[in-house]
Amino acid sequence: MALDLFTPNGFFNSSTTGFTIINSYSTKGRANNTRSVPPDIIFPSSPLPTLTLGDLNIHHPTADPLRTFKEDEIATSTPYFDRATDLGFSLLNTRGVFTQFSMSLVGRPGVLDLAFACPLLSPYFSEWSDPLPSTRSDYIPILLRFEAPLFRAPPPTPNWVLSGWAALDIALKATVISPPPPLPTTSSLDLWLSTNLEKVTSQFALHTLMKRVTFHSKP
Amino acid sequence: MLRKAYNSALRSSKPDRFDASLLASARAARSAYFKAIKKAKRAHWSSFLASATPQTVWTAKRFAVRRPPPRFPDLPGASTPPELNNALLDHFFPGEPAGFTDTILLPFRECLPLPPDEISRALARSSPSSAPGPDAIPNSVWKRVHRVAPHLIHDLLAPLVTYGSHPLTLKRADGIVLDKPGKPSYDSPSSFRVIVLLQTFSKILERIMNSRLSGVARATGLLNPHQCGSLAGLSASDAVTTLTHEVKTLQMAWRKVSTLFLDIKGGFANVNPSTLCGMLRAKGVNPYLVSLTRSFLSGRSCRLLYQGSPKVFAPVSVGAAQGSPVSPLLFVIYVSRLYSEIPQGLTLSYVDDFGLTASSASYRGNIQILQRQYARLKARGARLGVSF
Repeated sequence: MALDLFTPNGFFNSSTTGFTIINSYSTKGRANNTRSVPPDIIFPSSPLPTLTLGDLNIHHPTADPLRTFKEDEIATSTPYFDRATDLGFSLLNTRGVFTQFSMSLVGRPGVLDLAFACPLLSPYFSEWSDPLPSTRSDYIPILLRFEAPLFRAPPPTPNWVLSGWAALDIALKATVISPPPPLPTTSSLDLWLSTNLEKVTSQFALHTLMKRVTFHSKP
Repeated sequence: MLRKAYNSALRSSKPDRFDASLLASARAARSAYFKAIKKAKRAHWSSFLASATPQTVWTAKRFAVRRPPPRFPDLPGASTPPELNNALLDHFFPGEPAGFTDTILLPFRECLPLPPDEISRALARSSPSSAPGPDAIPNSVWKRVHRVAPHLIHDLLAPLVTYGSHPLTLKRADGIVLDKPGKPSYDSPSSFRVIVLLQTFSKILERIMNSRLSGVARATGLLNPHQCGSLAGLSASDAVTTLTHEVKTLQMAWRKVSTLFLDIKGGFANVNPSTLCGMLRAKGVNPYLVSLTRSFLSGRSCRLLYQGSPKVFAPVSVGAAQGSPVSPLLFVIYVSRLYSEIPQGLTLSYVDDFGLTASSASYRGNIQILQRQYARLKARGARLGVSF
């Protein structure tokens, strides 16, 4: 089932005014190593943000890295993951977290319920978790959270180790601080300090490269 | 072996942080050391996975799942970034900031000159790795600036000391908002805390203030002899030694001894500039130091930093600024009024922790003495705006 949703105010404040959810239940197909819903239906090439999810009845090492796979399981699932990769879909599941536990206790638990986000949607993805109470089914309820991304990158900071100290030393020695105003007020002394401090700190800025922004940079 | 090499290289690079060859060798040693740790960890992880059992596979899963991302403030009543920022500011800095008044400044004639070696001493006490505030300039850079061009810092700071003014430019701080781990929900400002980062240049002036004021405070009796902490030569161990000595002396006289430990709520935020400056003036502290103190305590602004913050400076009322070298001393002077003599007992403090010791023939008697002393202390605290 595909659901096209219209978002008149923009999808998470973006310029896109809609998104698509494709929910599918894929069972065994007519031939061996096939499923009832083919990969090109589940993973369409769409201009809208697309969320593909459902019980695809496939096992793949990308979703379940600790499982021992049979050859036909790999053969069945590979076309789906290849198609997702070709179109830039990202798997949202937390790898290795089982979504299905067999009631009969015969079959192994597995990662059958998969969720994928297309490149337009993946920046908004925040969390995949299973905190909800059991529905008494052999499948666990899953919570997917999407949020507006935090666009503001941390500001770069100076890399003092790479400062051009030789040139900076000369510039600092040549810097002259002007005397304060003769009868200053609180604000004129403040202005005098900020102007003269700027004379020194602007020399730092001229001779110092900035550090690359990393995950650990302050916001 | 690798750690020894790393520490040795680090030590040899420390005297001159800007020597490129020493830094390169220190970096290579560090890289080798941490790479070896990484390799050992990877090998251990592989062997752990290879020998995983049905019991340990869940442990492996716990290790493999990514760390939860840092939480950001998301308060129910605040729907826009400015509203969120104001809600956090109101929580972290609840006091009403005083309005700014532009006044004419006159030079204090009795002000002591600021020699370059006093600035050197202030810089020597500052940590090179201390996180800088909005100026993003670490102490190590100011140390180098002072070594290369000693006139610069002197010419910038000397007029401030002469006029007894701590300008607004130096009183801007960054407040890093961090989530408190393990909270059940993060929809309240109380689930977050703030770390305030002050400008390193301002801290040079504050260290000079601290060294001058601490000398005056000892000489003029601004501090009680039983106050410890924030003062050179009066550490926590001095407080403990005094307390144990007093208790043992009283016990030797066959008396029962009891101590009540108290903590001041809020601490530095309670310092009232007018009250503190009145105390300084009453003890004859040089007027330029009183003026610097008043200026230091007022007109502060803070910019809260968290993902999505509007990054604007807002005026805040903080009392004695958290993280400043002079704040602990100002606080200790401020609370010195809480002291009172306890007959056959002791009032002792370490910064904002107070201990009331009483002795009598029975523990019941001690309880009564301590209850009376606590009531007196509470009344004095109320006059200063502090509570326990």
